[in-house]
Amino acid sequence: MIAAAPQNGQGALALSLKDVGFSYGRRAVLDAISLDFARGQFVAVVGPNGCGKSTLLKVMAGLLQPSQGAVLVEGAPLAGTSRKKLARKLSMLAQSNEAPEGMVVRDLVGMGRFAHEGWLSSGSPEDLRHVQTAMDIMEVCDLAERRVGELSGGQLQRCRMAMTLAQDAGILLLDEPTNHLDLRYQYALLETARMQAASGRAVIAVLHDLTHASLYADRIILMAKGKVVAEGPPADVLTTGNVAEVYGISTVAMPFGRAVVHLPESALVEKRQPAGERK
Amino acid sequence: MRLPSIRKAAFVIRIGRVVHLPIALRSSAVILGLGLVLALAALISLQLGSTAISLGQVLHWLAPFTTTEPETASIMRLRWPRIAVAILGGAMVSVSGYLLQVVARNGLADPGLLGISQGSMAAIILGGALFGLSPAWLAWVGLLGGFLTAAIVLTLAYRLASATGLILVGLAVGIVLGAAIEIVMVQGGMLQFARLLAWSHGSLTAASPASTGMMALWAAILLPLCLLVSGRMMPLLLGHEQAAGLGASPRRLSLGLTLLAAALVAPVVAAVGPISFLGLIAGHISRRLVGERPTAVVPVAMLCGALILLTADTVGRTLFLPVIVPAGILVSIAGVLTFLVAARLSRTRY
Repeated sequence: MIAAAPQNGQGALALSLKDVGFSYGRRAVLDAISLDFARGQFVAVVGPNGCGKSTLLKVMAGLLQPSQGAVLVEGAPLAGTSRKKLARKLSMLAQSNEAPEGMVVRDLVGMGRFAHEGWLSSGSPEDLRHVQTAMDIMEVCDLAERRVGELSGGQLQRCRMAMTLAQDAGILLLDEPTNHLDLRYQYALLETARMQAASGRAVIAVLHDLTHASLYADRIILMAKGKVVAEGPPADVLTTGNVAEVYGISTVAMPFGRAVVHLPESALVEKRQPAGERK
Repeated sequence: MRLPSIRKAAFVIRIGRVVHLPIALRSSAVILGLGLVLALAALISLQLGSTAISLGQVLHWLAPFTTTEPETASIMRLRWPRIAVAILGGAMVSVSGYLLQVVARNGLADPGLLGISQGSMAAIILGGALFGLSPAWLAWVGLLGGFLTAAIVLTLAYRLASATGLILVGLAVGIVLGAAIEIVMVQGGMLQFARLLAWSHGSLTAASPASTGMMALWAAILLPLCLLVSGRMMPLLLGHEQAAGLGASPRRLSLGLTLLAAALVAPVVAAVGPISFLGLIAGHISRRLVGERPTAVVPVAMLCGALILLTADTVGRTLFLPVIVPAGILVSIAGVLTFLVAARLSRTRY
């Protein structure tokens, strides 16, 4: 499948990290990370809280300067690229969902076109087309005239994702994109991420849910304490051994097709042997 | 089946392939309406005063290539600079407030609240009272003071690294500068104190053709610049991180907008003193009228601010005769009232 459409840019290197390190003051958050991300792949970054996965995403987006190593976007070093040029190649859905309450959804999604617009030109037919497509994909067309203050958290998140898609960049960085979404839209969003990858983009998402990651991602990067512990196909990475090492809990792994479900051993054991029935 | 979610703009300014500016129907209607009301207010304001002049005489004076009787002409010579200063100053202070609201991501931001007005004031008092500089120079001195204060406030707030930090730091710096200004005012003797007191409350009595010309010059450069910038500042509303992700340079943009805001306030402070609250009121009213898109808010804020200051000054110099109430005080009162009404009408849910 990956080799199917080379004219689509499938498999071509989109983003690579070369020995990247990052520290806040003295505390090292990322330690010598080298990774490559290809077009056509949906990669999930997982790991416990504070393992550096969000920081990794910010370094890849150029929001933070790595203290060592380099990030290459389509072969060119990220460091010297202007924000506008970078935003045409790489779009990012940040975690904070700050937006003024009076802002209209149409304008919010339209901001995805910012990097394609100039001082004296905006809202061209092409911009409108991309905005319309993105809103169709995220099923937010009926919200177009609503104001942000009237939206639920989930609706706002879908609108922000539409904005990120409207940017029409080859690389999508999503920081916990399923935040605020209900079950239906969590899966819809992950499906969208997979479709975006299938259409030749490199999609990299920080996810919390290992089941989600294994079900939708082509490749999983498991991080702990600023390092990559394991990476590869979901079934190879999400072993009970790796999960125990990284999260510090014993789990029972249950494969479901391509998904791997990890259930905590403690909960399963307790149900079989409630404390009261013990002698 | 699907609903057309993207409405086409009402009309588009198009020049070749380079310029493509869609303009929404609602904002153009609001701009047009406010423009008409402002023109009307200016005409009424020209009529009113200790000597009332009929509308016919005013129009006759305004019409080109006609001669007006000398009495009317001399009264008009006194009145028009004041009206022009109110319009220009109102527009400049309002936009300044709105730019700061975007930078601080806080609707309470205002050049008075961020210490920038006080910075300009302090520099102008020093320049004027101690070195006796002329008004044209005072604007530059005020600009320097405003820039310096903005730089101090931004640096301190950057260390705190939060949007609310900016307001707190601004308030603190403003209070310190305000105290310093009062010390200088009290030092200078009775006559100077009286003169500075009126000015420090924002009085348009001092408006003259010279100060009008000075302000017009600054406005002619800065107001179009604001309109130009308005198209590129919207991502800031989503926070620095997301703004950068969208392709904006949030830090550079914030710095630029803060300096622009300081530059807008300096000539106004030099000519008529600080007009507190105006940026806050005009920003709120404009956002209520046309939403959050800066391309619409900036021109509407200019017109709103001009209208408010003109009305406040006209009321202040006519309603309580023989007492003339400084426009700045009336704007502050109106500001508090608007604020309460706005808070009451606010449709936001908490």
